[in-house]
Amino acid sequence: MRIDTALFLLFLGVIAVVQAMMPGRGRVVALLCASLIFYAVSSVSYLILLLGLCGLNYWAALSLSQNLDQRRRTWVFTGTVLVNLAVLIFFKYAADVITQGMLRWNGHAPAAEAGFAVPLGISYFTFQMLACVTDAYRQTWRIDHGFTNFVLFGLFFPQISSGPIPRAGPLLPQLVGGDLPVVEDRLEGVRLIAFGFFKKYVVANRINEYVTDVFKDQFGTGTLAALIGCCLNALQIYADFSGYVDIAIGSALFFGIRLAPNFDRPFLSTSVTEFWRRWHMTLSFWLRDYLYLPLLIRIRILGKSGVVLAIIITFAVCGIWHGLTWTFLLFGIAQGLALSAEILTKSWRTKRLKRLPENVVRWSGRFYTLGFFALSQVLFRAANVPQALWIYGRLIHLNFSGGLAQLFAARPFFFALDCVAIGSWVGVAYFHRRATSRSTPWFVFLCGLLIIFLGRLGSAHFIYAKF
Amino acid sequence: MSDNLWNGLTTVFREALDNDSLTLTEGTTAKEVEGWDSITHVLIVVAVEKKFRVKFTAGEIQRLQNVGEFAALIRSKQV
Repeated sequence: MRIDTALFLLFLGVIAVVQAMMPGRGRVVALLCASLIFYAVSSVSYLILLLGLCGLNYWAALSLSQNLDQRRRTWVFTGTVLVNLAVLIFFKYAADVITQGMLRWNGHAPAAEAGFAVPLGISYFTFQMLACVTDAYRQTWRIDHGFTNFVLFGLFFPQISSGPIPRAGPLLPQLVGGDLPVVEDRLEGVRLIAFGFFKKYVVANRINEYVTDVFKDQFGTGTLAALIGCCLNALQIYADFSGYVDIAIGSALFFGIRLAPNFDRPFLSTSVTEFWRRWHMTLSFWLRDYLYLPLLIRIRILGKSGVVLAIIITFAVCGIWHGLTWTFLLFGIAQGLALSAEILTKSWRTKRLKRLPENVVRWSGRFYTLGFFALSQVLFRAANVPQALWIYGRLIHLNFSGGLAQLFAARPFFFALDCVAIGSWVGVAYFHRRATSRSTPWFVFLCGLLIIFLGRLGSAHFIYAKF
Repeated sequence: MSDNLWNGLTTVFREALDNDSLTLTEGTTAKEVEGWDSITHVLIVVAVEKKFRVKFTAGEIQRLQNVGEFAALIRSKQV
């Protein structure tokens, strides 16, 4: 079940009604049943797989919370981590490897129906479980909830598809509380859901058509068209992903559950380092706590070289996690190199930039960060390295004669509507920041109107759904 | 807490954070000190290991909550 559909909204309504009729513990059971049904709609067999993994991780977290000897603790921890990673790697990469292998072997890819689907949310679920087991091993968190509560934490339906990646410490106690949500939370949730639908259908889906045209060289893309394509691509991925996250966080809040924020106005960042603290925050913090820092601590003797190595390895893994392709690997390495350069030059820059006016430093920092992000997102979007190089080539070899006029002239009426739709994002975001419980109906009404009249309905799934 | 340990720890922090007026208390945390991020934290650990001739495990480093706990950990390693 996609969370950007009317069916999902109906699902939320039914659960809310059922939950309201239940006593305290019954409300937790209602949320658990809803999560199981939500996953079962996608695949019953994968639901059984994830329940099995929940069982393994629960047992490991429980064992690690007890006074085992260090050797046994290490075995339990290592074994559980390896099983989690093996399942993730198998489902995420096996199909790719088999396809590539068959292409090399006999020149034919296997038929799509012969392959297998990736379990819904397997990456995010695995990150969640690895965090629990690692925290229990480090003795920074201990499990003191029953298995059914842990299953609800693992499969909680608003965030299972694509995050945000929750931590057991803040989320589990909220899930098992069993209190009915206060009206303000419900209304804030409704506003977030409406805003998420607006971002997805009105902004992201409309921009998608331009970006697709530019990347397909539909109109003999010139430099200006390529530049606009790069900027719109960055805007699209933000509208698309943050739209999904708003719906996920809003749906949880509708039941009184506060999920961790995943975006903090990333386009205001003045450096790539700051950008990654504001963009896909739960993944960034997960990578920092469970990959980057443990790695850096182990190679700390290398000093600053160790820092650079740990950053590049972390972002390379982040890139590969998105997909087993050269473009994603290069995307990750580019982020790692930018962060490393910023860290190595930090004290040098701080001393020199003190002489310049603060506004100049801030805005040039934003321009550099956004420019870098937009350029690196070309790798994220491109089907392969030659396509990314082709776009970069269009940006470098100036050619102002072709592309732009055709790109817009192909749909003059819709171009005007697209401008209105994208521009309305600023107004809706402003209204959303200032909206209160009383103005919620007006906000939802406005989003609804814009979706009906300007939305591109029935378009592609969320970009991050495939990760 | 011995003065030698506290003075040595303050020197390491001041050098790593490039802040000569930094004053540490047992309750000082990374959030309160400008520039004390995860990278500086690890560089401080390396400098402390070198200065006090001690070695920490990964778990010990990641469990540290404040400067007081850090000083106590160093002292436990020196015994």
